[in-house]
Amino acid sequence: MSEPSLLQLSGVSKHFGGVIALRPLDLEVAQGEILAIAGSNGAGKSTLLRIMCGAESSDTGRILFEGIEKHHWDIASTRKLGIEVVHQGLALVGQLSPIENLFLGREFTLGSDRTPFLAHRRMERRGQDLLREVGVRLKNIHEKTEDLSGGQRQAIAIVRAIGWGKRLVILDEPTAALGIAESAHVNDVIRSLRERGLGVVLVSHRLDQIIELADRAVVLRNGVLVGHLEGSAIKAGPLAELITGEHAGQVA
Amino acid sequence: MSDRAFKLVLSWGSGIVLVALVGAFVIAAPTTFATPDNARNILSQAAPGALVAFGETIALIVGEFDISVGYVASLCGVLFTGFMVNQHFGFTEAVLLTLAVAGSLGLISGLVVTRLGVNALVGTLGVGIMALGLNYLYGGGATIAGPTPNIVSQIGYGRSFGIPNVVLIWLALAVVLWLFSEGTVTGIHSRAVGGNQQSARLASIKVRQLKTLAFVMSALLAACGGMLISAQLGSGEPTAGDGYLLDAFAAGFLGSGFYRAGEFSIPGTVVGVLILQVGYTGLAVLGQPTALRYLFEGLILIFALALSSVVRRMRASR
Repeated sequence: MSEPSLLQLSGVSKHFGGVIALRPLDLEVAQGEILAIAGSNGAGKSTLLRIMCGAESSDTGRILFEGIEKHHWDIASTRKLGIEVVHQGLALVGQLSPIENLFLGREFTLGSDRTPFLAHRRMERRGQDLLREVGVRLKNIHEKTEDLSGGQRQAIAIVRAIGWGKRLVILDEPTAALGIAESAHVNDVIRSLRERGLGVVLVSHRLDQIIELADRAVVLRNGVLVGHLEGSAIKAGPLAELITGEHAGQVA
Repeated sequence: MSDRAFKLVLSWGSGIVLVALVGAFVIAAPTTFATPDNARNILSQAAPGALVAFGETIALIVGEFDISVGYVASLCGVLFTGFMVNQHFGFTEAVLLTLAVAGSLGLISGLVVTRLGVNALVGTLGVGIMALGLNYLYGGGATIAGPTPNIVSQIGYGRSFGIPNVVLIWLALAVVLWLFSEGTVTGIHSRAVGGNQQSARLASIKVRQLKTLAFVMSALLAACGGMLISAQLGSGEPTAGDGYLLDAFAAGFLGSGFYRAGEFSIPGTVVGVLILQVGYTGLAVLGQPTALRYLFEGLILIFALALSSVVRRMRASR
């Protein structure tokens, strides 16, 4: 890897009761690269993702950020480091407006952030800028997020991650609810993140998306990291084999 | 129904009910209901229930229930009067001490629900029964009456600018709580927790602390309601606040058909409180037996809960 390391997981594992979700694995994401994580349902992708963003603690191993070991790794601290996530469930609050969702947990306040009072107008302006940058058009930004279409909600979640993500953006099935044109647009946005020097982790079921975007790809199967592909080696055949664990000739 | 019309009905539904109710009583009793005196009466009677309802609303906003509010209001009415009459504390000391007791009970509710993981319905019921116990421990179930500082009767019966002080108090609190809910970080985080706890957590919002704060605020507001009852009655009645629990729920759920459809809110609760009080006063003005009031209360509570449920389902299906 030529670029400096951003996030490094070393010997990280996780179990829930008697179920082993992840066996000890090593993973590394660098600045300016797109790392794809592939695997079928139940492979452990979500658990891995949650550990990466601090939503879940790992049972073993170490987590390093820019080469420095982090002993305290939760959502608040990962956000401070500039790590952002687009969760598969979007993690939006339906009752709130798109702007309120964009700023949830890091609202602008009056008096240069020294008072507890919300700076509604400042957030509205900044929010609209962010939406425009990513090409999202909303008829009414004061509408409840739950009243928007699935695609619009996904767009809000993506805009939120991109707007706040300064070092690493993790995307879990970011184009699941999007049409072809919108998906292509999101792919462009993901590429632009890499161009800006951010690290990108992309979890996707869509092999075509992985092949198109990823610099490197790792595959999880039953909680084990079973394969690692780079560059031109990232192809449908090898990916599918690693995901299913069956060689091409064996598929009935 | 078009989308716009649908949203309009959802956002104003309860407001329309209130206006219709007022209109109905004005027509039924034009000389006795539609008077400034009666309007003052309605707003004054609504005061203690409104405060308790605001407390319940704060809990509802974060997605919880607080069953203790009625018992806490009763306890605090007794303590407030008792501290002045029996222990001869001044007004300020009596208020602060009463709030301290209420706050502690709210804290217990918060910890029981967020740390021990006890369901709020059961947990706060337990705290409510504790309040009941404390009530009888302190006062023995007797009414506490005696000389209290002048300010108490000023609050209970006095007026400022021609408006009863109790009305100014509850309307002012409504504004303050509304600003808190809409205009502060804690307010919006509370709404987020109530809307989607998981999403709130992923946004690094401290869910447990917010819920505990909500229970403390609920108890404090219930205490204020209880103290207001005592000020209005001129004595500490051990069961005076008990009945406010159901009204608080009814007002909160009625409120979800106003302002922010399908969501609990302070402005919504204000409308809910007024619907209830207009109903009670209207029935009284028409000379209807008290039994009818209970019927009205029960029906309205069911209507309010059903309305809330229907609204949610209609939103989901759109």
